[in-house]
Amino acid sequence: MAWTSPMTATENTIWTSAQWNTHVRDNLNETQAAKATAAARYIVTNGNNTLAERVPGDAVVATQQTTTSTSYTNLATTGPAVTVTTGTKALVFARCTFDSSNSNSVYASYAISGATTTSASDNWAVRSNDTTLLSACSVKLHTLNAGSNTFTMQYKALSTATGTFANRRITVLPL
Amino acid sequence: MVWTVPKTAADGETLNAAEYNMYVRDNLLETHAAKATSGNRGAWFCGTGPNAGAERMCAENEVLTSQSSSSTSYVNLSTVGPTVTVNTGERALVFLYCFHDNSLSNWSSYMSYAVSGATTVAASDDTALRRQGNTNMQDMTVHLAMGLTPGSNTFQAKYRVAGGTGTWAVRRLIVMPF
Repeated sequence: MAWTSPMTATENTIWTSAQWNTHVRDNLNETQAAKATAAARYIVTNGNNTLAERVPGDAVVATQQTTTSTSYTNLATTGPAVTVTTGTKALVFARCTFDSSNSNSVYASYAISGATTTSASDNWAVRSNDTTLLSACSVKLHTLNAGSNTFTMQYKALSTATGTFANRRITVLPL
Repeated sequence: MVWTVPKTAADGETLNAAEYNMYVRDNLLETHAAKATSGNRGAWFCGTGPNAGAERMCAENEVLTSQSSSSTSYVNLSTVGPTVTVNTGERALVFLYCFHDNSLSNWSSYMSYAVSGATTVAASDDTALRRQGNTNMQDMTVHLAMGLTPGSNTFQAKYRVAGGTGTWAVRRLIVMPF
């Protein structure tokens, strides 16, 4: 069903079933109430006069693990990873608790796969060269190909550092 | 067009054109689907007052360049921004993200934001992302800006240090207007 700009009625004209179906039934089926299929979801636009329901996603891997890889890689426990249906945008948060074994930086970022393919990048990573354990979060509004997209955290450490990562969490608000 | 509480029908009544136009046409025109005319995908619908609403869209700007400052009051870096201009109601969720550090171990570097346009708000430590010391950090903070004047508002990142020289890179500002 598609939205049609509601007709303007004039006195003494007969209202047909086709008009009811087009201007009342089909239009009501494009409202937020009609699109809402379950609790804790939200409704966004999906083009002119078109709405879609979106479901936020979150995943966590609490396990503390390390890497010395100087390019983005999975830890012994891959992820966390979140798969959601998105439009052309998604707001993504990636956080973890981490430290470096020396004064070289360690990074936690994420790659995107599915409808969109994007490698993990320093541009949306959390990063520090601190040897003291700390927590940090990154945020990025991604432009995506609409459809099913998977966001998987990945990790690296510069030079001779060993990065230690724990309480790894990724949260995606699809738009 | 405005929203009118839909009438309750009674058996034997006829629905006249004026009633259809008021309770069906005009009320449908106040729904999210009717308001979605910009072609945007991913916008949401916020109330602008009783029985009225408008489309809102999340916006982001970033400046990846690494630049420095030793100003103790909030200033622009050599590359101004990032800067985001959006239509807002009275509130907006503002995210700041960057890589930052300071040349000295005992001093802090700050990234905050100022608002201009319909509203004027100066950058403040209260809304800043802050890092003390000469170990680096790439992190974010979030602030719910309240008391905005509805309309077109521009949010621009600003920077300062308490001492030493601050360095900022991968600078990102995201605004979710309500």
